[in-house]
Amino acid sequence: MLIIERVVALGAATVFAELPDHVLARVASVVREVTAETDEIIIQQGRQESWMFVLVDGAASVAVDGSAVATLGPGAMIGELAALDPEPRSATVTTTEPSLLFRIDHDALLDVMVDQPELSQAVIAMLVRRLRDTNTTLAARG
Amino acid sequence: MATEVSVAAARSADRKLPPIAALLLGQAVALGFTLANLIIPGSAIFLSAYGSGRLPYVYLIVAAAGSLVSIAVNRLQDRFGLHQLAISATLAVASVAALSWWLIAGNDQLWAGYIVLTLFAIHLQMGFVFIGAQAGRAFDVQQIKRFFPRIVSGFVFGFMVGGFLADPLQNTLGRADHLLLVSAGGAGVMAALMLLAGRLGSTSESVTDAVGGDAGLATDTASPADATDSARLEAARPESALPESGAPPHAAGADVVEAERAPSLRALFAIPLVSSVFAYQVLSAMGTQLVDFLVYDRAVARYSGTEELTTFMGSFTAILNLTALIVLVLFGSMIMARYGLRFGVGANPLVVTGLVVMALGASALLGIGSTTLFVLVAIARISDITLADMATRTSVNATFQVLPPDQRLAAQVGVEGAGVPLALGLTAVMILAINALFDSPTVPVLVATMAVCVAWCWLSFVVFGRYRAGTVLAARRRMLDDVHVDLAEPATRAALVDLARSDSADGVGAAVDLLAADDPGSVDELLLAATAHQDLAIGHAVLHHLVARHPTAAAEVAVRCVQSSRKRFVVDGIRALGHIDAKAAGPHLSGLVEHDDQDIRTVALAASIAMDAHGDQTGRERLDQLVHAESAEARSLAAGIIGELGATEDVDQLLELAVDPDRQVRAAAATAIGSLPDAAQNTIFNQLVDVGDRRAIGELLRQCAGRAGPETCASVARWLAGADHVLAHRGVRFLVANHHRLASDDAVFAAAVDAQVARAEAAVHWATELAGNDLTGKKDELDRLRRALGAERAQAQRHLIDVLALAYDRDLMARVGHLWSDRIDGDHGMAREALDLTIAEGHRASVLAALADRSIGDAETCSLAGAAALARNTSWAAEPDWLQACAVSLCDQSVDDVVAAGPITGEVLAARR
Repeated sequence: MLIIERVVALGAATVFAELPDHVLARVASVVREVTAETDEIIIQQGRQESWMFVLVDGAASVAVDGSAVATLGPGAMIGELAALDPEPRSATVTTTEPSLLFRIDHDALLDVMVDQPELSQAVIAMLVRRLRDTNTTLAARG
Repeated sequence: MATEVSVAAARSADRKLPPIAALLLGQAVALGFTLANLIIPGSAIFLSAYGSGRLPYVYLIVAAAGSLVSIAVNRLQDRFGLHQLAISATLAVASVAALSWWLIAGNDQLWAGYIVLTLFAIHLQMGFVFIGAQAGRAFDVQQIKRFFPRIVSGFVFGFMVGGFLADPLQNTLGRADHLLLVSAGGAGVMAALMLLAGRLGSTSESVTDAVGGDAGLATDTASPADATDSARLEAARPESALPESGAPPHAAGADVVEAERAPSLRALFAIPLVSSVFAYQVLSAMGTQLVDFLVYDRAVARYSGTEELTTFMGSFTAILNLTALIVLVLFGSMIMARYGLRFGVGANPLVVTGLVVMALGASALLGIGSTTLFVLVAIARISDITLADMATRTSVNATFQVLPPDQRLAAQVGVEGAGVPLALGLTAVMILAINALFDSPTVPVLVATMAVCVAWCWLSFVVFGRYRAGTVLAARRRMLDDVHVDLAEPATRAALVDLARSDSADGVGAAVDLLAADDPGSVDELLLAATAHQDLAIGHAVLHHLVARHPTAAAEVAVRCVQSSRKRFVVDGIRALGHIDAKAAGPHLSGLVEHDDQDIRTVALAASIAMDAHGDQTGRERLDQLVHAESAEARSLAAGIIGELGATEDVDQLLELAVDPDRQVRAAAATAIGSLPDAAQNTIFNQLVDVGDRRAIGELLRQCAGRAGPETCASVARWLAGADHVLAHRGVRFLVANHHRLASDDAVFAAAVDAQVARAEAAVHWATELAGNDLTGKKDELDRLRRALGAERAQAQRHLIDVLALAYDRDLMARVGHLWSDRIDGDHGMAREALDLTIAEGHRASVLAALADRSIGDAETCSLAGAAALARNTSWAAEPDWLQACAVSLCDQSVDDVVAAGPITGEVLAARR
């Protein structure tokens, strides 16, 4: 894919949806395209890695300790916490159909975040949303 | 020789007043003359008609009218602009003076004396507002400091001439009340001079400009204000305690943006220093007012009739001004330099209290009709004005200097704005109560004056004590705020010496830093005392001073630090030992070069490398080994060591590490470069530009923010007008962080502004060029291109505001930037308004045009020729080359021969081929 096409694909991801195109162009210039067949494990729980994926096309399922917890479709972010703060993966992600993913490495992500404050703001907003969701879930559980 | 010539030329330029300053000087003379010819006949007519018993009503009217006029001016100036308002108001003063003359001279309506005394107070207040505002508009801060004292001296001259001429004019014209016509004429002359100044000056005016021409002015007007205060040697008038002449531009409250941040009065008065200064000011104004009343009261008793009173008032006014001026010129600087703030806040209340006590004694022993009593109250009045102008006003203003900047101005305005009307009101009520209770008010007013003055004396000690406490706070806060710690002030120095002898390590460090910066030799005794202190933290706090001045004592403290369990002490101890004598550090380093903590290890290794203490290897060989190690951690360590050594001969190695593939190494190298001397930093910056490694330059600009010297900053400033907008913008941020300033007429600044203006205008231009309908069916691509143009323009606008912060007030520009980023139309309007009032005329129009809200367009079709021309334009930001790529992707193969500005465009072209 051309960078200009990757920008369109990245724009479909929730976390990047509000970012201006020229910022996405910087992100698009550091991503690596990865293709995966059906049932291919793209992230293994417990493994120490420092990259994230954006699911451009296809679908994937998320499992924690062998139990499925979510399914993901195009535009989903996968493993972004490890890209921000490298720690062992907390879940296993397996493709459920042939998929195209963008891989973004920790260093590259940090470089772009430093260059483009808008990206940092978008990432912070994403993390805050996730924290709120967690709080809501915990509150619902009583 | 050349230097002598240039100095002589500069002095000559200093002496020469520019035409606008001459016109302002003329206005000040006219103002002084007008006011003298209002107060002298006005008070004589009033006192002969009503005696001193009605003066409290005048005080009340003045307090209320003064506040109302301030509010009215604040509102009207937005509608009419400065010059129109100033000329109208001054002509109104002339008209009211003439009307008063008609009422008094033509119709015997002596109640018009109230109007005259109130008019005097208001014209005094507003006259200085208008002159100050014009000066604020016409001059920058340096020019104001140079010219404003001379302008204000015109007021003193005018007032004095008015006083001396009062009696001869009265004799010539036949009646004292005819002086009111002379006053009306003076106001007319002042209005004419304002008209001329308006024509000579700029086109857009506002009282606000006096505050925020360069928002730095808002703070800096304190100095000319002081000068104004000093020169405002107002004589016998109840209104002398009106808001300070320098204050009205602020009191007018026209700086909307500033007002948003100003702390509330309640918050201000919760600050002990502010509340005590407020109370001091209120009592000072009350003391002044009461003594003033006593002079009038005794004058009425001694002189009968308007003519006699006019003669007295004229002479008294002239003598008072002349005395104050002579004392100020001959002794002011000398006494203030020697005794400082203690004298400044204490002398006035003590002297006035002493004279009032003597006057009270004279009244008891000799009676209230005695000449001795009259002379004593007159001397008290002259002393009060003289000391206030020589010391009190300056000292009170100086006390606020220890406050953080955002509180300082608000405190000055709040104290003066609220304190003086309150004092006038309290004085009026007090005298009215005395009049109601006693047949003769003289002795009760003397007693009340004494009570007020005793309280005023007590508060002078409180203010002094709180100033010292404020100085200690300011010393500790010096790294956080732009706080001015005046070491020429004896009280400040004494407070700092006490702090340096305290048991607080931070306090000792702060105090010694400040004192040593002023005079390194003055801290020797304090340093040795700190060395002997049982608390190691005290010795550590002054360790770097010890290294510089007392190496032996420093070595003792450093060894204790190295043996400490606190990392900061260990690191600083090793560094100190290395500076004193690298060999002395040897025994302490053996265990530390393998320390778990990287910072300690880095410092220890740096020291050992400096000592060549690596067995067979020389220090340099060991360092070279680390620089080229496979491990990124070792290379990071090498960068840290080079930074620690601070040697300029390691520039090449740092340059190598600055472009290392590992970001941690790059960051460590950038940090190390940040600790190098300015010249070495500059060399590395320029070499990196030659290498063309934008990533490394970006890293370096971030890491050296706040740590670069003038040479490096000057180099970076030259990038601002370059074609690489991303680098230019990082450069702006870098310069702001390093407090690098550019003059608004600097060619580098002008080029940087022009570059961003051109960039914003180009985006609009290309949007216009896209108008057409021969390229259809590519809605998504066209939308993307229009978005890119919009983003390009928005970036240029934001960068433009950032560039402006290099020459104008940073805080103001930061607030303008916030308003701009809010993406709310109203906020954009406010941002533009603030810029309109702030930036220099030279680039005001182009900046405002670049920031105008204009549409980029949203049509679904476009012109093929326009899109192709845009695709061929390579002057856009090279990184990322998004705009060109969008244009190329919109067009057909006819643009396949364009030169790609960057990789994104190149990719589109390659894919098409």
